[in-house]
Amino acid sequence: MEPLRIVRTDEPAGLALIGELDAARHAVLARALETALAELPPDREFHLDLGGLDFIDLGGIALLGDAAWSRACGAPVVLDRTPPDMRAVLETVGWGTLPGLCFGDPA
Amino acid sequence: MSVEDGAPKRRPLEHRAFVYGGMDHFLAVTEPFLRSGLEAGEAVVAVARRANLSALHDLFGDGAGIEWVDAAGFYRHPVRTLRDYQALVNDFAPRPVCALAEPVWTGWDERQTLEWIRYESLINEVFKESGARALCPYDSETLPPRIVDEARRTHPMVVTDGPPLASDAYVAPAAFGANCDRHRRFTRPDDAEYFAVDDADLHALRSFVAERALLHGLAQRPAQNLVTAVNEVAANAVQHGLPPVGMWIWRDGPELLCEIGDNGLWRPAPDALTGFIPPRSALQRGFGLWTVRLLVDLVELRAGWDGTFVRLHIR
Repeated sequence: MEPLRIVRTDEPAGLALIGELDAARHAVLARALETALAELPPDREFHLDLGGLDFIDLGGIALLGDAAWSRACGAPVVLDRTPPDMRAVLETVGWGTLPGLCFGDPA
Repeated sequence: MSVEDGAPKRRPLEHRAFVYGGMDHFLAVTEPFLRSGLEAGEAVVAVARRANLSALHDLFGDGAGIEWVDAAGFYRHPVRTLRDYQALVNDFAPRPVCALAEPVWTGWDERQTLEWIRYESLINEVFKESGARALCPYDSETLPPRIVDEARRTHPMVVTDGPPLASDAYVAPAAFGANCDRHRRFTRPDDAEYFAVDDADLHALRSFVAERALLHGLAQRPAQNLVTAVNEVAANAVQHGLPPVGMWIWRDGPELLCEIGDNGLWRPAPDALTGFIPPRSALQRGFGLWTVRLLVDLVELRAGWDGTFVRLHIR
């Protein structure tokens, strides 16, 4: 298993996630999201590049939802290059429980 | 809507079965129902089988402010249908929803039929504070008598010819669900494969499930849904249960089944509603199990003296 790597991105501002995200990496991701979001003005979109992500668990999805929720009325958290399998899982979960989260650039 | 103390006052859910025979009878009740919703300024949605839908559409025409939905596309998976109704209620809030809601009763096997009956009962719990009104038509001329009988147990009120009457047979959702569960059997074939989950790294388990899903011939989407669901249940077992944690996997005709078990006692014990109530957000407790129910075809929970077992069905 390729452990999760988290890389800061500038244009657009956000994080790239690479490898597999499951419960073992929730704490690391939560910290990285918090730090990166704290530095970003609330009116700027926060982008997550999921193109290199091989798996995301439901707890991981909830963390992304948490990040979007924490921005309250701010700009959305945008999921770029979401692999098709993961897109299907997110669509099954539905955006109703993930307010503030949306798809950006296709895979 | 009346307003007191600055807060909108929410009515309790109105959930009625409408047992009808023939198109004239159908239209005589559903048309005024939809009209009353429009007049009250409610968000009006008509979900019905195609023939009924087009007859109503002919009466109202386009631009009446009614959302027309073909039942065949809307009723495919009971938990996903709960999710979609929940989304409607949320999207229209604070306007209450007025829904004509005619389920589909053809094309299901025995167990799927039971899950749709349970779904009708769950509506009473999930939407109890939504302020919504739902009228659920049941065609007494074509449906098996058992389906119509169950409608009297899953709807607090029933409409036939006259005014709505309280249903004597109505059973509250928790008791109704417990009764649905009474007939479950938890046997496992001897040739089920077992995969021991020894540590917190679930990568190997995911690869194993993905491989078996492929062998079984599952399409990419259900395969990924299954891997995600198994991972969630196993992660919970590792975190909250007691070792040994493991998974049995086997095939039953077109279905692939996975059962994750551990030696722990699930406390407080799950009841017939566990995992069926949509969470408000992903942060809420219960998001995991609710989502597992969305991802696979059927989830069965068993919290026994010998441990906790979660069985997932998918095809």
